[in-house]
Amino acid sequence: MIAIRLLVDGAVVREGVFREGSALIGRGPESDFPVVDPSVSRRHARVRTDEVGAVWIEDAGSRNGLRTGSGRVERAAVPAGGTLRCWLGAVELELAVAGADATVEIAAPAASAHGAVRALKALALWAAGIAAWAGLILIDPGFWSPWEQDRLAKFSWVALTVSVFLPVVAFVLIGLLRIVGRRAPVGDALRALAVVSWGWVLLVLLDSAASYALRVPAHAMLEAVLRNGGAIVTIAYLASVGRAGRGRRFFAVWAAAVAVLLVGFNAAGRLAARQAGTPQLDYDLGVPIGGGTGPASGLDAYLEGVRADFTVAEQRAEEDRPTSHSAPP
Amino acid sequence: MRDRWLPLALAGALLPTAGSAEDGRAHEAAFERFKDSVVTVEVLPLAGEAKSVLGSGWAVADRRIVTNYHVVGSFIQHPDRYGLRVKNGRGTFAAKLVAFDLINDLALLEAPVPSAPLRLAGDPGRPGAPLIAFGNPEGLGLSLVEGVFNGFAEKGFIDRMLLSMPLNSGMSGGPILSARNEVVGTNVAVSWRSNSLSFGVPVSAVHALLLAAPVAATEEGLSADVNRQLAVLEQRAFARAIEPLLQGTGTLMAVGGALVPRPPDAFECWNQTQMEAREEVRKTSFNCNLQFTPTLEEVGEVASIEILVEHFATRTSGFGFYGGLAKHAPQHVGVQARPPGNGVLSPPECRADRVRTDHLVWKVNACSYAYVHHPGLGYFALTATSVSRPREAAYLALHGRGVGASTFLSLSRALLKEIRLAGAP
Repeated sequence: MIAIRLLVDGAVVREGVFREGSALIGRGPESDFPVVDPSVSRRHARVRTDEVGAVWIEDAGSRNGLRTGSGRVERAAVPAGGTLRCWLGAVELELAVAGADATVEIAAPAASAHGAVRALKALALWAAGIAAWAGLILIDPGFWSPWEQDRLAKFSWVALTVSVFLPVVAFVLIGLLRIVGRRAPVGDALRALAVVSWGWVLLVLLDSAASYALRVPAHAMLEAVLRNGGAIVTIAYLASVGRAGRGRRFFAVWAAAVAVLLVGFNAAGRLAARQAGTPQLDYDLGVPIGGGTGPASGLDAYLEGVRADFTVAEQRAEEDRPTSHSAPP
Repeated sequence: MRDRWLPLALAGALLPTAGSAEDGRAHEAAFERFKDSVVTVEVLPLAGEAKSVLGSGWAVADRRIVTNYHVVGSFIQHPDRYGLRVKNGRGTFAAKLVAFDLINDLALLEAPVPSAPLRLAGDPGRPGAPLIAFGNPEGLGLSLVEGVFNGFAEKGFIDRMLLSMPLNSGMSGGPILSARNEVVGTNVAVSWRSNSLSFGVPVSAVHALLLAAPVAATEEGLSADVNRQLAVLEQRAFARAIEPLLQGTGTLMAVGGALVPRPPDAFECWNQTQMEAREEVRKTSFNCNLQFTPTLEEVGEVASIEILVEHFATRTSGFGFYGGLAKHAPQHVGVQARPPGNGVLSPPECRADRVRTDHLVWKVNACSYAYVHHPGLGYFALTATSVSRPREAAYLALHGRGVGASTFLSLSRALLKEIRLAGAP
């Protein structure tokens, strides 16, 4: 006996039990186990028992494929007496095989209790996201400046903005994922945003610590790496939200694409700054906690550097200088 | 207090301002005697919409007229775009540039004006001596102004007669005469926002100008001459404004809780302390600049140096203190984008680093721009914030316009090396 169970957020919401032979799963009317979802093909997969009695699920030529924990597969065996979790597009199924006389227990959907838990979880994730942003403000030295007029107002304003902004971003993310045919629950989107926000808190802390430890040019380089790396991981991570399998390749391809894009943007930005003659200044002072100021160069070495800069400026002025006027007749 | 003094040439539109003249029989006689020796100098664009400039001048010898460099500055920059003209009651005459002295702000013209040359005094006389000055204020007509010679201005590295007299725009280049009817100087500038405080170029500079070799009136020739004079000016700025600091005997002065080398006498300085009570920050500022630095067309001031030292102290946490200072640091930098090909300055080349001296660790930003038409000179801006102590910081902003790299770097070194914080950390 074969049981096919439709799962939503890990809970069984529907079960079909088949005695033998094969069962077709899909969006089409001829399906034995119909699943109505845009990510599921009309004829998506087939469950059958082979000559030796093993139960298999096979891709029936679907668009979005059949995936198990190990990625996209053509077919997968259901262990005798056990279960197999798999995904048809964005839909999760569980297959179970039991003896002919065994009774297959239908797990109760328990929809109401599950909904409350889900709502609480989403709320907790939302709060975690807000907490991360509050943390980002609190670790900004500028927030604690004696010149800062009204900390409470500033803090409240940011907390309020983020609390509205986070769900909006979550829904935008869900909408974008739906366009590519992927279903992501609100909880997943909020979790991803919270994880990303806390990731940035860590990056900022790391950056501040590095500003003590490193020379200014080295720190500037590290800062660029952290900023761009953070952006790459953030975007690739958000793009992976709601994916059934933990596709490493998917993540890597996204990260590579974003990296290429960022490198392009950075190069274009540098070129534009050079074209516009924008001064490149760095006002980050760091914080002399306990008198620590970080490694520094000598005064003479720095001023010699300024002299070298002026030599470069002179060369650029030279390029702009009219070479010579034509002699008057 | 940059821009405290104002050249007197009248550029572009005429502004309504009253001229002034005192009654008196002596003045009537002077007016009659000198009216043909004082001329109006005009710089007229040959074509296009360039500005025209109006100033005054006076006959120093047969066919020779003295005026200010800044009156004919646009002609010197672009002799192909402008024409020179002088006029008095006897007519209007085309003029030619013979020589100029941008350091003292004088120019010598040649024009066939029928006028009796004025007699030159040997020196400007003694403080308190009565003077009269002539000029054509706002182009409204020849005017006589009465005043007193007070000696020379004590600041700056260019000699300027300090005059109590109400000179006005357009009187630039007019003569200043002693009671013996001899020229003791040439009108040059007024102090902005002051009451009747004016400046003159002493007659000694005219003596030198008369001996100068005539210039070639081509753009290349004039440009070479400008650059030669700028080099001299730069050396002089270094000698008067920087060298005393380098050879300083270690005289330090307090700026709030900071100890700072005292700037040489050539600088005009002023200071200020303010307690920002609500924010619990005490800020003390000390500003210095060089007065009477010449101004070039397009480029602006040259041999100009500005020093700003500030000291900050707070009772609140150092974490927030430095967060606030990071926002303060850009305030006095004043560097801006300069796209390549702007014809005046190169794009900026900047450098940021932490720098350690014997007394402090600084976070320093420095940008340099090179002048396109004046090789060797640049515009430099340096700002530094000390990061050695959690609740106290020194801040330094230095600007050098139209100075050489060595001048600016020597000044930067002299100040950064010596500035320290006085009290216990």
